[in-house]
Amino acid sequence: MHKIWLVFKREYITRVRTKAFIFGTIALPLLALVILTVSVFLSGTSSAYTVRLAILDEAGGLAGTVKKTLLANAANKDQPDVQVIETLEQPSPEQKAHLLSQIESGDIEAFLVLPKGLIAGKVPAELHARNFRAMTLLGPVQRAVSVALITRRLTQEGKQAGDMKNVFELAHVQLVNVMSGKEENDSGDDTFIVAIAAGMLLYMTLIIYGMSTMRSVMEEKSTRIVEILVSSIKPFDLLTGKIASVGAVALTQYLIWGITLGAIMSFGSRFARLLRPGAAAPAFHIPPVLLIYLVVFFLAGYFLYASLYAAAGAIVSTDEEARQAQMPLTLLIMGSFLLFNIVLNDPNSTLSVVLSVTPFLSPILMTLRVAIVPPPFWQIALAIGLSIAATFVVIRISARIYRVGILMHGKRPSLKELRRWLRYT
Amino acid sequence: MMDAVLIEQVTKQFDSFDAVSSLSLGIKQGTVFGLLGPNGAGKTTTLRMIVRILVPDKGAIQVLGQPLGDRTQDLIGYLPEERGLYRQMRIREILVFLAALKGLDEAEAGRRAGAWLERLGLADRAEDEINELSRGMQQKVQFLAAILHRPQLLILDEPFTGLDPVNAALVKNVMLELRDQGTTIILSTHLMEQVEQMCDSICLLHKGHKILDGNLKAIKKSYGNNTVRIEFSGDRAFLNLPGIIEAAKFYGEVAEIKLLSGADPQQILKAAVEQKVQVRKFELMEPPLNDIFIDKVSAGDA
Repeated sequence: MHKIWLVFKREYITRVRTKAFIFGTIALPLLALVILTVSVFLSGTSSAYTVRLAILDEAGGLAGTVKKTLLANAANKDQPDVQVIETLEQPSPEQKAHLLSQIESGDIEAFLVLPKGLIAGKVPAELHARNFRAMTLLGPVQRAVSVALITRRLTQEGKQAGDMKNVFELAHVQLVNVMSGKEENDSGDDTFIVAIAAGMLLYMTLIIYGMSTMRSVMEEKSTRIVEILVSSIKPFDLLTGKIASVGAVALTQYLIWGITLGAIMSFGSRFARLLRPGAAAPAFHIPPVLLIYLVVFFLAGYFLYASLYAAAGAIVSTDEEARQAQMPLTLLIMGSFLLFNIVLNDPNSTLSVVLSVTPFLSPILMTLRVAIVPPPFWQIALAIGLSIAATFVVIRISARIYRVGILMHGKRPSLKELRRWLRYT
Repeated sequence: MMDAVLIEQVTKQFDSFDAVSSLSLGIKQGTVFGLLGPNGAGKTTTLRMIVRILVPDKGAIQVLGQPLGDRTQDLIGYLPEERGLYRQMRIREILVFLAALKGLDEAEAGRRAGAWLERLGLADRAEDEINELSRGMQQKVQFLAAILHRPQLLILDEPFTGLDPVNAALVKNVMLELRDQGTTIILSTHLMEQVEQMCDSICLLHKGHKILDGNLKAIKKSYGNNTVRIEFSGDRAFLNLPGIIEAAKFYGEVAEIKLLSGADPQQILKAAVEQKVQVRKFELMEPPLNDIFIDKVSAGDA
């Protein structure tokens, strides 16, 4: 046990002081900070953004109602502020051309054309907009134009729109996200982005740290220090200490990322205001339970894959062979990523459930399910249990290959030779 | 006295070929033991079995009276022939790590590393990384890694390759000093000169079989004083003595002559005087180990 600890300690210390580790650890929070800064500067916030709009009323008599309805809804946070610069009844072609040039020069963001056939329902109204932000006005404009049209048609029927004010009371539909049985007011986009990000993070760290274990085995093999090591410690203990250590390095990185990202998120809005007064930071809601499962499933996946990567590292002698040997493992991890869509589309289908408890696939796919719609706990427990069981089997096989492989130099063994290695004492 | 290493009827097979077959050996405590043999004779396999990297298929090995196990592991220091160190670790760090793996306290390992580095002239490099060192320096660090925990059994596989004569002498002195303190040393090397200077007993392996073993002096004596070493100036034709000389090797004005069994070495001196050759030195001696080695191995091949 003491010797496993010594191996663990050596591997950990020499690893966390490498440039690769330090760079990787600060790179992610730095990236988050850069994204935050850029998003604050580029887009600002929705409330700080005003769309300047001109209305060309060719049909006549509609512009007033449209303008009134648009401004009345301006308090709604889903739409940008609108400023109606001018309304022109029966505009001349020159006036229209002038507006186009104003959009070009950025004096206004959009103009709305209400053509003659609109009231009869023959042609659509046109919203000419310069950028994406102004296009978000489409919904409110559609509503405002509808109100104006209905008012006009009712008037033609001889009814007073004022008497029927509640007729125009449009329904608001609010998006409600169902999380763990409770209902939370939340936009669904967050959950989706967080799920994808968690999957990506697992995918990347499993590959990076799996290959890291492999390289560590290869270093000991190619420098031949392994012969000195295994004269002092059992190969199985050496392997255990190494895998645990690389895993601990990964956890250290996760911890630092977690803390710094947490800090960036909680101080994000203060930071954003510092950069640009009045700006708000884009906020993501990450459920803490997801973070816990992220770590649990990283560990479950890591031990499974790392023992395979270690065996692969023991088999090969050159970098060229290493690239070939790691291929199937990387494909296995990538495989979970390719099945992402199946689970994403229907997280609770039988196929999704089976895939997400299958060892090797479970780390990424179960984390994904946890992020979208939390599955019943027994499924999570089953995924973890199966993963641990698989790890025990795989690590035994890997250790046997490792024990023989680390002392073999020369050409890569065939599968037949590998089977023979398993029988060596 | 208890044997430091006792090997009984040990066989190790690799894919149906015997790397070592029913080998039995006893190595006395506090001696230097030479494990010799041509390439592929089974020396490294034997050493790997003693340090428990490989497990014998048949037979048993004891180290210092105990069967091989976790406890014997820490009593052994091992310098393998194929060796290296972590490239990105500092010298002191790696010495402490390897000694701690042998059960030595890390603080004590640090102190000893300092003292030994001083003695081998590496004190000012203690905090340098391994990849900044020359090959010879790395070699010395590897040697230190094998002895830092004061093993009772020290196994050295070709310890002198890569060392200049000065450093080779330094390492040799340390080895003899350790032997005097009671350490048993197994030396595997192709340098017969070193074996003759240091080893008390030897074992010669060939194709996995022991073909010769025992006390080095006794082995040489058993070959008898059948070699003459002569230093002379003049025509070497006087050595044309059929019936007396089996073979002669010349090194400038020195000749090493192997006599036929029963021949009288005085006949050579007589011939020299008759043919007016100046003899500066005449020595009757045991055959060099090198000759015994070649003799035995080629006999084994036949």
